[in-house]
Amino acid sequence: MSGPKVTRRQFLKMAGVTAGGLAASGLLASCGPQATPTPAPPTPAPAVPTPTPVPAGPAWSTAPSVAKPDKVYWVYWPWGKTEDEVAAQFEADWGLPVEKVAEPNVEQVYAKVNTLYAAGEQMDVIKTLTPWIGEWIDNEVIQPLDGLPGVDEYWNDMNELCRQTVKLDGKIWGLPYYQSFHIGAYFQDHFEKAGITEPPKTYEELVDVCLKLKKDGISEYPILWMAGQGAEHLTFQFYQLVWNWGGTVFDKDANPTLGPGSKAREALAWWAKTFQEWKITAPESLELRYIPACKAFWTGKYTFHFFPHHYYMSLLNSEAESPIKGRVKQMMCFGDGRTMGWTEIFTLGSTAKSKEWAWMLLQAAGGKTKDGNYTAAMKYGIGAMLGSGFNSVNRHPAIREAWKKWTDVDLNLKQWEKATVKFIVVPAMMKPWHQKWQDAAQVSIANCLAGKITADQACDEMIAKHKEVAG
Amino acid sequence: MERTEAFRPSLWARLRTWVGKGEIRPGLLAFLLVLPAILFLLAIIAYPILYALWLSLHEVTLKGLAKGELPFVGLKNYSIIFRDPVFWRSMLHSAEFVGTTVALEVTLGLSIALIINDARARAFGTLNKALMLLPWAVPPIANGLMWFYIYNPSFGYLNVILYKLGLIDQFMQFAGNPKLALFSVVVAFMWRVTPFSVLLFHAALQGIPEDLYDAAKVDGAGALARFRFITFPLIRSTLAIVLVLRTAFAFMVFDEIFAITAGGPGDRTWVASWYTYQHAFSYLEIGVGAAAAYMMALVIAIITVTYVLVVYRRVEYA
Repeated sequence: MSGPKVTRRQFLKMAGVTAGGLAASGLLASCGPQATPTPAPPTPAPAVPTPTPVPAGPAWSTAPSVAKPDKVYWVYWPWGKTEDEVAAQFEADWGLPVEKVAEPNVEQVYAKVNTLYAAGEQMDVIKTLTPWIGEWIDNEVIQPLDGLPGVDEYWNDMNELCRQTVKLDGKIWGLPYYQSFHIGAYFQDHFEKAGITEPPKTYEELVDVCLKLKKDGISEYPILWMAGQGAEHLTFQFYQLVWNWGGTVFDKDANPTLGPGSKAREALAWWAKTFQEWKITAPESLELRYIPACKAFWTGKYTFHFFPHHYYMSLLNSEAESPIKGRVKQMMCFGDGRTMGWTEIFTLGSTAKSKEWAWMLLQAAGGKTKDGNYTAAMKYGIGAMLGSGFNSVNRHPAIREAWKKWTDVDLNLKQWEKATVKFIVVPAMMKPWHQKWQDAAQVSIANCLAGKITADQACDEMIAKHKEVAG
Repeated sequence: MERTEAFRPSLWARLRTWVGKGEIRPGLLAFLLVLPAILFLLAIIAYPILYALWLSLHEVTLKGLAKGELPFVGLKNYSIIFRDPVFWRSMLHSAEFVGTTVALEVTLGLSIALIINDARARAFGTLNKALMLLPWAVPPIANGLMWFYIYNPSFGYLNVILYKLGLIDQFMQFAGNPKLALFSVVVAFMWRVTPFSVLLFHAALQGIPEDLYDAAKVDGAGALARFRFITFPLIRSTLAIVLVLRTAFAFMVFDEIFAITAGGPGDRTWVASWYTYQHAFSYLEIGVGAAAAYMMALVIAIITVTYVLVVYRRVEYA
């Protein structure tokens, strides 16, 4: 991490000027003169995005030259009061009311957006879970950002994990909400009681340590996976396990790689053994997800916790709430440390009344506010340890300082560098049939872990389901 | 220019005049009076139902819905669900769920209603009714979340209570246990909805004249005989209503499933409504979801007609 000699404000100013120039030159090359917007050509080539008037100043602080709509609509699931604050700042900055369509959690946003879209309702900015993007691009629920002022500048500041997510089929589909990746953590007290000095580095070592903890009566079930039913958990843990094991679940063409002798079968068989043979995994792993899983770990019954959200370290060590605060330590993923990561994004709704003004709200949510700061990203990072897709945010000293109280920042960043976006880990995730396949896969995996079927049978079922849903 | 406006009585005044003069039949008047309500109901109930039927016969995508391009596919969506083993498993789970909840609701509802209708409990009538209404006032999704935490295998209250009572030696899984998952949802659902049955049965019990019981006592009838020959026949119509309503609502259970199990573990709590939701809103196979919803409605209709024929009709001749 760099120890910047310039202040954050100076950096942002310089970045603004530089990126503004880059954006302007890029757009100049493709769209014509900057000062006077070029009228649309009589027969525009379909692949070229609609030219948008280039603002005189930075994209985030220059009002679009088109008329304001009555209001702009923002559909999201909230993180604390951050969205309220960002919306209030947007309204104060631009005098444009924001209609907040806040849903309690992730799944409801998906249903809400689909319903609103089917009814032709206005949606300007949508907080989007990446597995939905493929479906929404196919159905034209969202529109690309290409051609909008300042997009190139944002692109230049994005890290690789973010770029892998937002650019699909050569188009940019959003700005980052947050970034995360699978990690492991351990409860230090159990290590001390058992005389263990460092966390295991391989799956074999993990089993040995757990059997010792069990034998010594320190933990009945040392491992708690966040692997409950539903998106992001059971199947994602399976993807992560197989990926970290050195295998894949699907190839680049979205065909399953679950056949006999595959790494996936090996990994699933091992996972099932932790439940059935060694009895080192807590059975409730298959029930717990999100915050309740962290709260379960707070009970101090478990030693290891493997979960898909690195930022839950802030909950596990929450100063205000965690009874075991400060004693939960992050560990590197096993083997070469590879892990599955992702960036959730804010997208631009295709039913926006004014694309230009929707873009302004999108920038406030996922980019910069009028003052040139990454306001929302900084709030998400400092308040909740959410990673950003922007390098300048992740490297910011204030972020580093905030995270210190929850985890070993250097180790966390080292793990981050080992993250590969989930679309590359699981190319099938972008297919419209993936959701349906995933629901069926959950049943097979759960049955395998419960000891009802073998790993071979579970993988055979998953292959058969792929044939059925993918045609 | 001077304008003279002729006096024109209101529609209501004219209707009253026609009725008074015998120019409009009372039956026709009644129809005219309920016509606005009928039109309103057609707009808010019949239209969506027919629209859903129409959707079930078309290939419906999000883009298609937004653009109005929905090709007719006949019975293809129905064929898809009939060939889907998950659909049949979901229907089976629904049958389990409905059978258990309706039987328990009727038994518990009637028992509680009999208790609070007893002369000795009437002194606490208002308190009883208020306490009864509390769960009914809890929104279904809030109820689901509440029970989600009660069942939590690591820190849930149910585990704490059972552990402190010495009934379990370690915390256990309820919603995550394939053998207990559906029953866990049953309990959460019952907690919320049983008061509805209690209130209906209680209202019916209060409508039975005391004289009948007094006369039966004089004739030497015991408590069981009084229930069998007086109470039961006279609450039969209410029983039919409870059966119809509770069956329909139990078939539509969604919030508790959504909050407590999300269909899991595996597909153990995939019920018909969850299947419909998943297809319509997760897989965006809206036509298939509509077809599944129609099959669910058909099953409910068949059960309802059966109830009415078996339970309600006999009341007419009781």
